Amino acid sequence: MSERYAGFAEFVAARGPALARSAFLLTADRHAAEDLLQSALAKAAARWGRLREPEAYVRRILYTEQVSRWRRTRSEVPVAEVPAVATSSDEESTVARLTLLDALARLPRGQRAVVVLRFYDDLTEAQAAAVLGVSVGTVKSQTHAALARLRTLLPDVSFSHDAAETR
Amino acid sequence: MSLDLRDALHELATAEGPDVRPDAWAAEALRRTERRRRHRMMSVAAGGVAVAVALVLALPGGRSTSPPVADAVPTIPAVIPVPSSNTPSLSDKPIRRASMIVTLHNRDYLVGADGEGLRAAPYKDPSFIPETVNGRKMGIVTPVAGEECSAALSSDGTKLAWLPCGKAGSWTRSPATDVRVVTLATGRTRDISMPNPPWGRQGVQLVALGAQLSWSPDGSAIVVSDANLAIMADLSTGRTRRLPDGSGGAVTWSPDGKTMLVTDSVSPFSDVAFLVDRAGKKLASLSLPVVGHSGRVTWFWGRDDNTVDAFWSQGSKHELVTMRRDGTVIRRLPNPAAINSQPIGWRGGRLVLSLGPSAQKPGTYVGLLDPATGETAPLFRVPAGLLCSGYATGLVATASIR
Repeated sequence: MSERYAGFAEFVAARGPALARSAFLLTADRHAAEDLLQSALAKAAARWGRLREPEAYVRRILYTEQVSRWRRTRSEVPVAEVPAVATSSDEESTVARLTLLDALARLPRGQRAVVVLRFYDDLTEAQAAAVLGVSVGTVKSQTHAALARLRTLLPDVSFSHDAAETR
Repeated sequence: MSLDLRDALHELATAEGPDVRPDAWAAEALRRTERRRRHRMMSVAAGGVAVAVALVLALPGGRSTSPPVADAVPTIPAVIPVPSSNTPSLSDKPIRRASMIVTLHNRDYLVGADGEGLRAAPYKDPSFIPETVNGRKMGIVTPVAGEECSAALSSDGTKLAWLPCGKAGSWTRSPATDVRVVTLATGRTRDISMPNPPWGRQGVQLVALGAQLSWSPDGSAIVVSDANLAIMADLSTGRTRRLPDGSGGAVTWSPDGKTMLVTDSVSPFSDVAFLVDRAGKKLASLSLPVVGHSGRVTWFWGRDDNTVDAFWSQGSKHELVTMRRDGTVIRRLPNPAAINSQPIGWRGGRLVLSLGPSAQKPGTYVGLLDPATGETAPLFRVPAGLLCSGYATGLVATASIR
């Protein structure tokens, strides 16, 4: 088994934390994030040795699986409250983070995926479209809708994202 | 307040994201992959067997044995096998479903429902144990008598849920806040967080002692209850709902999965129970129609959606009482032969009961009680020393005994 998966553990050690953070933003839930990541890593492991760019593969699985789950069920209900876990001593910063997390959780999964791809993974519209398997136009409209929704959900916050939005 | 969205997302993901545990992620991914690979190989082999069987049947005079097809009728051994030191773990040799949990020397085992024999329960298996819970590192310690894990099989036997054990089991030295659910066939695990579980507040010693798990018949929900509180978790949404105050002890579900029968933990001798719907609304209260007793009462759901039953005993008096949902008594069966036994479920209109050992018959029998006559008949035997601690009730109702 070890030869079949040579290098897999090292890959997870190196890139797993970053992928877990992307999964967390996609799901807005720690447990769901780990579940999603595990599922994507298992798929990567099944093809290990045949993947030329494993991180790109895992990342694509994360996004497509998350969005396809949403497409399948369309039953996601926005969370009513944010997790009551404050890990920072800076209360204001913690509140801001949890408020943003709450707002992210209220976005439809497709919009959430676009926000994470564009503003966390820093992909261009074309790259994001390729990951999600949708048109650039869809990415643009989803981005616009997501930011509008975030502005509604966070009326006291102004986003300095303009440069990224127009990339 | 001005916020750079990029910076804010990075800060959010770093500060609030999952604990970093790449070793566990890699190990879990490889375990799942290997399990799928083994299943594919088994499916190919089973397909080959099916083709071979079909060819044999096509030949004149051909005879067939039962092929191990996926949807075969589940089976229960006529005598439950005794685990040995060579009993494989679930991760070593996966099974698709299990009929029951048996305990030997404080260790739990699953009884395969397709003739596979026993598997060690996964909550003592390192590959099913999280590395940390609530930021605290977990490890395995030697189980202690009387502090076994609380675990339950889904009605169809395909899923197992358990509460993290206290110092008795695998998740040590941390109050339990999650129910872990594993799908036997795939090894996929899922944690359901419970809001402020009382067993968590009370400390690790109480984790395994009082809490009980009760699956809905369709496997879509699970209730965790202890002496004075019950919480229902909807597995499709992950949401939890606290059942009305006073809920406690074992919870049983109506066959249609719409209503729960909950023992009133406040009532002395548990002679009061109530019906609760899935929204957590109390529908009706039921009282045992026996005045002034001080015996023990076991409430459980009847053979259909409209009846409930209660065993009660006091001294030499024993009775099985059947009543409608509104509390109207339908039948009182005095001194049934299977008194002091634990109800498991229903099978063909007869009550499945775990019958305790006696001086004449060491070991345990699982038998059937005919409510019309009060007579019992054996179903299968559990050897002395083994304890059955959970059943896949839907599977027990239909399984073939071999």
